[in-house]
Amino acid sequence: MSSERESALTEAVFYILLSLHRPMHGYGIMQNVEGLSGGRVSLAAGTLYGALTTLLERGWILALPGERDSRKKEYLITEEGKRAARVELKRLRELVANGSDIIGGEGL
Amino acid sequence: MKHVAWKFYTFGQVDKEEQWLNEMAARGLMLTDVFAVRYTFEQGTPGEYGYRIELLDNLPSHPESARYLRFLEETGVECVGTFARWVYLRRKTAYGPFELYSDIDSKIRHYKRITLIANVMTIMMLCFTVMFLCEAFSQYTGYLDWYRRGFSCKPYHIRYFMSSGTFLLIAAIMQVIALPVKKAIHGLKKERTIRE
Repeated sequence: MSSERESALTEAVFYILLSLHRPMHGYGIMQNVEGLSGGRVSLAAGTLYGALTTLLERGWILALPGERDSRKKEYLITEEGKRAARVELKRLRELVANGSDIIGGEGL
Repeated sequence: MKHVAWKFYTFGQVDKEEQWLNEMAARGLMLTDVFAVRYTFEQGTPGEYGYRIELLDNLPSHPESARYLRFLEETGVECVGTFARWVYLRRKTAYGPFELYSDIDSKIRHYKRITLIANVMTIMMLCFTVMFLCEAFSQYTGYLDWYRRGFSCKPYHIRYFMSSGTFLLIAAIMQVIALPVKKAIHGLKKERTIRE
């Protein structure tokens, strides 16, 4: 499994995974991501819905049992999802390290 | 105060239709109901709502669509009308600019749902073209046969050739209608080579 070359996650998905380290519902995720990115990333509802559906299928997040069909269904990251986020963070660190070496710039 | 407009947009002109709805909203006319080519607007605060049109994978009544629309409602989106699989959505601009898709892949997927309509129609029309062409030739050979024997026969083969041509024309028209969307997909795919 770890020998598989895993490709990059989109930044939207990465931020969704980060957000779901705590239980959160759809609109909450959108606001949280906007906050985390300082307004740079604004997740559109259709994109979010598609991402959540795929993440659920993959088992990277789960839907929390609440009142059935209630508004504001909440989601939470799974162990598998946490692993994927860690792998992505490692990839991002590699990019930043190389970028800083070659392009330089403010320390992070 | 209600204001009714009659306009015809093809499935390939969704972007233009959206643009028109948003222009009306910027002028203070909010779309509140749609039925095919009949648009109903109501007076409101200019720029109060942003509008988007989406083609669902299934009819709005389907459970999957219902789940999606309910999710959208959680984010402040309202549905002002439907037409087959098309849904007309709006959201108060107080929530921020209204976009349904923020990444290129989702946008491409949505446009492809639209070109699928054209492609399915085209394939159907091509099938009819071939069917009627076969019948036309069959009729023509029969016509020639009678002619050579000295009998005159009504040239029924002509109407089959004409029908065949008409179906081919419709197939081509479907592709032409879808052109703006195909161009949009092409543009997005190019963008995709460098960005997400």
